[in-house]
Amino acid sequence: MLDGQRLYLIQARSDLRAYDLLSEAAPCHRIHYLQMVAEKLAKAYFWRQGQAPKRRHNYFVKFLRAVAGRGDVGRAVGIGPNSHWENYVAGTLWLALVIEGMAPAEAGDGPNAEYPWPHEAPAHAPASFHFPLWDEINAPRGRRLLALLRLLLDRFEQYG
Amino acid sequence: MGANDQLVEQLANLDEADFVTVVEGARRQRVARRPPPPEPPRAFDRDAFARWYATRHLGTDPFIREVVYLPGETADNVIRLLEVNALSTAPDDAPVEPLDFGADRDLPGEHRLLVADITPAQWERVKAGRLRLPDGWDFTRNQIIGRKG
Repeated sequence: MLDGQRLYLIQARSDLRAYDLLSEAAPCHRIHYLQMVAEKLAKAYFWRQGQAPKRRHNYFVKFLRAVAGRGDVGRAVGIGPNSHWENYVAGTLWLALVIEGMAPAEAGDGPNAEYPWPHEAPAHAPASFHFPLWDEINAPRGRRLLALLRLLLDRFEQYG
Repeated sequence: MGANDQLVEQLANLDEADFVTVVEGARRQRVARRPPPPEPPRAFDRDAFARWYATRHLGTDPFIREVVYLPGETADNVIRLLEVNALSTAPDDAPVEPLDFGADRDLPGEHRLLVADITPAQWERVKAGRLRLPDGWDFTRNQIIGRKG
């Protein structure tokens, strides 16, 4: 494993522990950490090519698309056969896209997990905003994505 | 109000149990209608694998409009795909960034799969010669693989 991969993996796993410790915090903080876990897992994967991904936040969906095509990753996390693995991951892409969009740089002047918005004339604070995303994460589809994320982090050394 | 907006309103007005049942039922019907993904080629042939990957990616992500395979003039074992993605948010003049998607280790023939997501606007710029491709990405002999129907 390249150093870039290893270090991003270390940080992604630590971010996940922080996510779990924040169980009593407002949803914005949990969403923030979830977005960071997803981003760093993706960047740990794409560091495989030996150079840093760009300083953007939209790598999680690309990562899921990449591993969806790898039946060996499905086997590493215990989901198969290949067609089922591919469908399983495909079913998480839309929610993954919404999670990516919670990074302020991706959200533009819309809802994000860190800063009040819109930037020039704030009308909302993340801590007091009802994120429909949080309802989705706690619904069956979201729990499935979260379970997948944990497995992909846990088994990274087998496929990364 | 368009047909899709009307559908959204109808779904939004269902009670919670009906909403979950309807949406899950629709999802299952769509999955059942989906043709099985094609099997990979049995031996490594770069062009055949490129078409196989392109077909799989089009099947996985509905927002990929087309995949452009760039075989170039070299006969290396690297498959280079541009994927025109309607949901990509890159600025029009952002550099095209290839990512090593990784190949299933159980597939025949050692090879690399490099994929670069581009927006429809970036694709127009590439075709017009106004947006450079990454080093080693050769636009000659490009093959466009799009959605059927």
